[in-house]
Amino acid sequence: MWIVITAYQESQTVGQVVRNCLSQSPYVVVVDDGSEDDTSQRALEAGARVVRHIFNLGQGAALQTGITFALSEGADLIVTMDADGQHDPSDIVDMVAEFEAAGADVVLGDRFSGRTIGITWRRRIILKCAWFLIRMTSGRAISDSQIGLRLLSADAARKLEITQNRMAYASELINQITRLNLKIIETPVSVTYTRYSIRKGQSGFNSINILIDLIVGRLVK
Amino acid sequence: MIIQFILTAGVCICLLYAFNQIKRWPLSFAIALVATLGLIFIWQPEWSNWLAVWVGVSRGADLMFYIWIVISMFVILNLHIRNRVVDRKLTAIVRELALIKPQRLN
Repeated sequence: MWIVITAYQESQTVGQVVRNCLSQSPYVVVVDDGSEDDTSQRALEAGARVVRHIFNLGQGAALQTGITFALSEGADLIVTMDADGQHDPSDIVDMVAEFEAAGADVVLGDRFSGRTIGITWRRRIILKCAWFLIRMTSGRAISDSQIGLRLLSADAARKLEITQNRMAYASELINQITRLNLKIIETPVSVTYTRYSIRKGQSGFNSINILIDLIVGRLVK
Repeated sequence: MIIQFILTAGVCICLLYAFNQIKRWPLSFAIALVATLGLIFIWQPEWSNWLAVWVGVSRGADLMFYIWIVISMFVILNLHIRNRVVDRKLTAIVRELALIKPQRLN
């Protein structure tokens, strides 16, 4: 199992996140999405493999790079995670257990049925907007489509192709999973918001950008 | 009268551009069509009034303004789509470069 961590300007947190992940799997790759700080160095020192974009493309692009790398290294399972420390790598154990029990292709963490610490009302509104968007574009009622903690089987990862470089990738993934008829389940996870992770998160206006990206993405072959 | 000559020069440049882009036929055809209509309305402005009344807008100037807005929106969308296509190519190159040399601490 490979753990893919996407990171942009995360030198403060990425080292600890990598160390926590290494307790779950020895195979951890950090995709440094063109950071100008020491993100790559901190990740390397913590024991991760690092692939680095020469300039910033966005989280969707970084995730696809990480998934491609993990597949090329022979991953059978791929877990994706953010680098700001909001996810708890110990949730991966439950995700794998649920994955095997349900025979799923994709497991999404669900912060709303799990434990969410420090979430702001603004963040809740943004996530509700995202839920509505996903419902509109894919017809699926996913409780927490924007969660960064996901588990994909290698087969599913090979079939999925993220073309949305920025935050619209989360909606694109759900749309592709629906179209490909992959079995998706959600499992409770804990998410801890810190002042740091909130500062690094998306603004409410980004929901509009995501909508535009999704519409234009459908026009581009 | 002077403005008519200035606008005519501008429209002629658009027509030359359309002719230059003839291989991209849907785009060049659209530019040529709009430029030709523009040329007609520059020299026969009362025809735009007639057309405006016919489509349900009171003044020719208003009709031209609405058409300009619609064309501008199409141009913006077209540029945005082209930008996305270039973005995808750049992403592929950046990804390829990243995957060529993954790093690990010895």
